[in-house]
Amino acid sequence: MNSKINSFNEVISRKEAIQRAVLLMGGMIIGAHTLLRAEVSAPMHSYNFTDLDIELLDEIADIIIPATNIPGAKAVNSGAFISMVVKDCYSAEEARIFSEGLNQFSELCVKSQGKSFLSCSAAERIEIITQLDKENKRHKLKARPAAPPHYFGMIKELTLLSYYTSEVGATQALRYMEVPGYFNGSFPYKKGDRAWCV
Amino acid sequence: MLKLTCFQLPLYMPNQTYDAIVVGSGISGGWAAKELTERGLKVLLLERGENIEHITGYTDALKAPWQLPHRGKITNQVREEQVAATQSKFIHEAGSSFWVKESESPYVQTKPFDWVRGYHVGGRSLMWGRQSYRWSPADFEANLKDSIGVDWPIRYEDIAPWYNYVEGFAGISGSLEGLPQLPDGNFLPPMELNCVEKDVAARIRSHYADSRRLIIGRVANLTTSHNGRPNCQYRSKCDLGCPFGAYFSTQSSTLPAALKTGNLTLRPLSIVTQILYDRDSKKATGVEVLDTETKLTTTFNAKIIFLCASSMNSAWILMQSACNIWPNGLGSSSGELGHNIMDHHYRVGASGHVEGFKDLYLYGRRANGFYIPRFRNLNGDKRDYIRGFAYQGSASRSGWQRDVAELGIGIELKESLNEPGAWEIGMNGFGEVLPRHSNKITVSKTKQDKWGLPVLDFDCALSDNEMRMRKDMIADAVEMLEIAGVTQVKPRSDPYALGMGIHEMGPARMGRDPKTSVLNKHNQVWDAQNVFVTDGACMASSACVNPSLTYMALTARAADFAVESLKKGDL
Repeated sequence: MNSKINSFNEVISRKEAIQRAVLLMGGMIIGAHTLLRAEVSAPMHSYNFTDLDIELLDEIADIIIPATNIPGAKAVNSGAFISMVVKDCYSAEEARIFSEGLNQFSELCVKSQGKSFLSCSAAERIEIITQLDKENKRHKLKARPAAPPHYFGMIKELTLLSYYTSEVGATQALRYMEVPGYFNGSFPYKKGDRAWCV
Repeated sequence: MLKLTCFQLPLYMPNQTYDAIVVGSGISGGWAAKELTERGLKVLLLERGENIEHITGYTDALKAPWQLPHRGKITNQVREEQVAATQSKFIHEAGSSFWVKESESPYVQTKPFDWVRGYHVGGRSLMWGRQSYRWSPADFEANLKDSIGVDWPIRYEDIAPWYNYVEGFAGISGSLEGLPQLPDGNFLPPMELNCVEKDVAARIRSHYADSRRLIIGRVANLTTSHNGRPNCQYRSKCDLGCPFGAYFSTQSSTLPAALKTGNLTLRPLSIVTQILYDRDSKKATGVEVLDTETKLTTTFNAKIIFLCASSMNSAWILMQSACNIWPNGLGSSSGELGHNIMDHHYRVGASGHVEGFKDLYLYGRRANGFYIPRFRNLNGDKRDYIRGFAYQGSASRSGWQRDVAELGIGIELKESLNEPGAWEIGMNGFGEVLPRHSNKITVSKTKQDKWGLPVLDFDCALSDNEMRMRKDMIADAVEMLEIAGVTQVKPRSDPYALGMGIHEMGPARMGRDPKTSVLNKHNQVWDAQNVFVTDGACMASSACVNPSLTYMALTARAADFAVESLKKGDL
């Protein structure tokens, strides 16, 4: 086989979303994102997560997508979803980055706040996650297209996936119509109208 | 384990005799079954995979996003077992069982080839892209004009009435454009371009003085109720099977018609391992079938056989047949069986952002996009390659998946993502691949599938002609989007291996001369005239349009010829 380049998940998930929409339209592709030839054999791996990891992921996700008048990420069990996706869908390399990232995250909290994330106040949590989000943004700007993602990018992306495809996210934060029945390509829109789930 | 090669005698069981045997139940096989049964023939339709019942078999079709455990993401298990489908990006969590597992049905890649298959009743008619275009008169003349491959033994006039016929039954929606390179058809009302696409279409048409046109895709989704089937519900989950039967598939369309005649026997779980050939009469007598459930081999006899097992597998069956007479199989006397493999090359194009239109959005998920018909090497245009390409694309407002780096985290992020983002537009070229003798498949001498059958070995690659064309496919896309006022236009150039277009064609080409082709002008194997091959295997060139509609038309035409020949006693 020719160039089998390891496609990291951050690239893939945006890709998958686009591809999904696109393939249903007869195979056309929207977006000029680098679609790399996925590795042929993504080796299974044995990374696993504890209840405490899942609780931690729930709390991180809930800072990324907090409850407003609509429930937030914790309410849709983002932590359990994220850990399952890492386990079932991530390559061994991606899972390693993610898993090591969670350890780095715990060390970071102790270093910056002197305690664990779960012991932090809401304001302290926001401060930590805001810093990490900026770090991820810097990482994305300077990284080569196929470079490994920052672990926080993985958490953020899976948080959004878990939230906006959940029943709460799809039907309360967004709008979901199982059977639209017809198509209108010039459908009136005003600021504040919610987006369609798919 | 059963080990079957064409040199071994099959285990004979009581024969069962039909008028016709159709091998494969996808787009072509479904049409063959419908046409032959409606003309009064008793038909045995053989399918190697399991049955999928219309509607009740579409187990993921009505699932909401939150009902999919991984919310659409494919698992490592899928990546390992369904390699080509993963490479092609067509597979996702819902409906993943429709795609073939290489862990069961491997193949050899002497050179990279993504062979994306569907082994079940309906074949890829369940998951196809449904884009449906006629070939043009020039497409049928191109090989002769360019001295490439062999001249098609038919011309547009031979197939045009059959295009009309199959469009009328299948239900193809599209606009009438009057373009010589993309003949109009017997269409249902077109779907609608969206507001941004209409704007871009007008700008392209004006800038290029109507020599390039952006039109709505022609698609086998119903825009009105048709032949007892309801119109498309704009769910855009077609590849999971449509519970409304609103797009053309074997299950929604040809199979019910064939069953209605009372003349059809459908036999799933039946791999045809060879065609049985009688040296004296120079005809096929039937087929040998491996029952994948009982693991027993049996034979079925018929007056005529339609091979519609998908391009590569139809060639494989021929290569496995009558080897005691022709070492390389039935239909190999020309030396062309298994050669001249084609696909459509793609994954190049451009995309960008569209300013404005903030007061407009989409309602409904249109299972279709826009189409820009071929404009290169036509009407006096001359490039450093021959043939051409077309684009498929669409515009839409970005969703919650959009790049969110600038939106940060928390309430601000959530409130932003709850609303649609800006408009984006993208398009992707589909280019013609030339037939070349060196692009070939052979039967592996070493590798076998889970039934002990030898598998195909692919040795195919693109040529300079396609590589030069790809440069234009990127540059023209960028230019047209920029002319249309699209901002931040980015070229797209992604790796492509043959097969990824899932339009594989050519290993049993039609021609005018038995010395240089496998099939004659009626899709009959020169060496066994009661064997018809009417799927993509028969194609002598690939054009740049999606091929399935042409397989439908060729199949209906060949079935008509076969029935008339039987009546006259010619077969």
